[in-house]
Amino acid sequence: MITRYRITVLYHVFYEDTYEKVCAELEPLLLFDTTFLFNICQETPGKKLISSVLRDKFPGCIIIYTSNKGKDIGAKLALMELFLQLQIAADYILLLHDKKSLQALKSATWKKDLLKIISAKSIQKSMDIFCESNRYGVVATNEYIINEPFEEGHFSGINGGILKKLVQTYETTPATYSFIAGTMFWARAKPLRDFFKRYDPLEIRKELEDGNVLDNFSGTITHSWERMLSWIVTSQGYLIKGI
Amino acid sequence: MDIKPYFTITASQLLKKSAEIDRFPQLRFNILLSSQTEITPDLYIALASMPNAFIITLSDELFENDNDFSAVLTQLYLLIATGKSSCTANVVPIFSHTKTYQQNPLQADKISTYLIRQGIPDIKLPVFFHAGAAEQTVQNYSLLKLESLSENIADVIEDFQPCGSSILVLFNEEIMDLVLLDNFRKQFTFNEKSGLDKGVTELDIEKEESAVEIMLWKKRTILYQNFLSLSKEVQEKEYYDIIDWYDNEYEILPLWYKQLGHIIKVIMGKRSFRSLFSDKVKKYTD
Repeated sequence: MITRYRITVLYHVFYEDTYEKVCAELEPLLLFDTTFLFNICQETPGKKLISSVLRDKFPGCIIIYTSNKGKDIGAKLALMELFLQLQIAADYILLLHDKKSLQALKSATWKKDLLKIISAKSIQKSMDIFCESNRYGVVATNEYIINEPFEEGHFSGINGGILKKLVQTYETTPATYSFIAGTMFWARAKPLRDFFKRYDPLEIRKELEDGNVLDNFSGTITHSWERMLSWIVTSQGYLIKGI
Repeated sequence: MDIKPYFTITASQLLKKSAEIDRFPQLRFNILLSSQTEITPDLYIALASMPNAFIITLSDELFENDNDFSAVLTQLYLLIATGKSSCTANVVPIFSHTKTYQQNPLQADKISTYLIRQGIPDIKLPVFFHAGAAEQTVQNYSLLKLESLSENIADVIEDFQPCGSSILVLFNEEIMDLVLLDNFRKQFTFNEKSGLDKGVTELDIEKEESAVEIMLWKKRTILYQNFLSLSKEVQEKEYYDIIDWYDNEYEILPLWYKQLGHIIKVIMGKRSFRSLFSDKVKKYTD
């Protein structure tokens, strides 16, 4: 096992039929000093089976069960609170979920692309990026680093109004408004830990929408936090690196 | 009546017994928290790894000044979230040390509102008077206070008339032996003379879990149906977005520019020359 890097995986499981894929996807991380924290949606049927498969594959993993609030973002916030409560000494955090986006045309490609970051080769590459330069705080799939439209001092996208309030409330002013669409990325643990020690993740989660909320037609707090999760890191002076 | 005994145990006692708890999966626990210092990483790990169903009871001591109430709420939610949801009740009992508090539980509303906003609806917060009667029933939950595990179960059950659908059993002495506790549970559950013959058996737990699963599958079916109709809506939008993009990027250009573009395509070998003059020939090279 490679113990040079201490990794914590925050993984949200929503679908009842993805657990075998989840195990296969995460297998390369077993070579590293990795702590696995899972959240299974309370509404997911077959939780008993899913939990037992995950426990067999990842001994010592911790599983929590939360309601479908804020989709994967709400789940990741709950997992972040668990991470803090468990006082895990991690250097890097990996945020993942069993994305399907059944409503979207390109859903299969999305997931495949986003998961590039956990192939055995990419894990090492990501670690190398973090080790070579302290400037990088987030590593993600290149194609999913998106720029939130910001014109003449205002957010002009669909989530603009909500984003304006959030960046003010949580004092997140990154140099650029790039974020990782899909919220699957590597991040340094320190900036996330520092931020969430100041702002209780579950207090943020309380404000998110219930159920399978989408931002195709109007802005949502959930999708705004999708952006904020990247900006928490970049507003502390770190950069995003695409692979 | 569906009788569900939850045996009260403090967080520190539970941690002491965590190594052997796996052997008694039928024991249901009521974990009593009296101080924030009891909520440690080890407690989360123990709760997340044990197979037993449990509920969390808060002592009103937790609401005293040296504890951070908003942090208690956060920790409470997370502790509940470590439970095996299919067999965990939506209840957070409160053990009050004063009669006045029981009559006016200041924090109960705040706890309830917080948990609802975190997605736990229909949460019940029965407040029991810790120093009160040996048998109390509040909001359909009964508290049965016993001296010790060695108490004659037959006598206890003989006199016990539970009014609630679930029972919290509280011993005045520390639970030292899980084998004794499990024996107590079996007698409590199966004693026929007492009329408590509808106690919770393994089969009942399976039935309960299976009912929850059926309900979840029904909800999941509705979710997938919603996804189907939503897909149509979203993909329609994606289609029109592409049309708009095409109109803005290409269609807006003058005709002569577009025609010149087709001639360039022919020069680059991307389009056949003959297709400029006829629709019947192959347009693009493979």
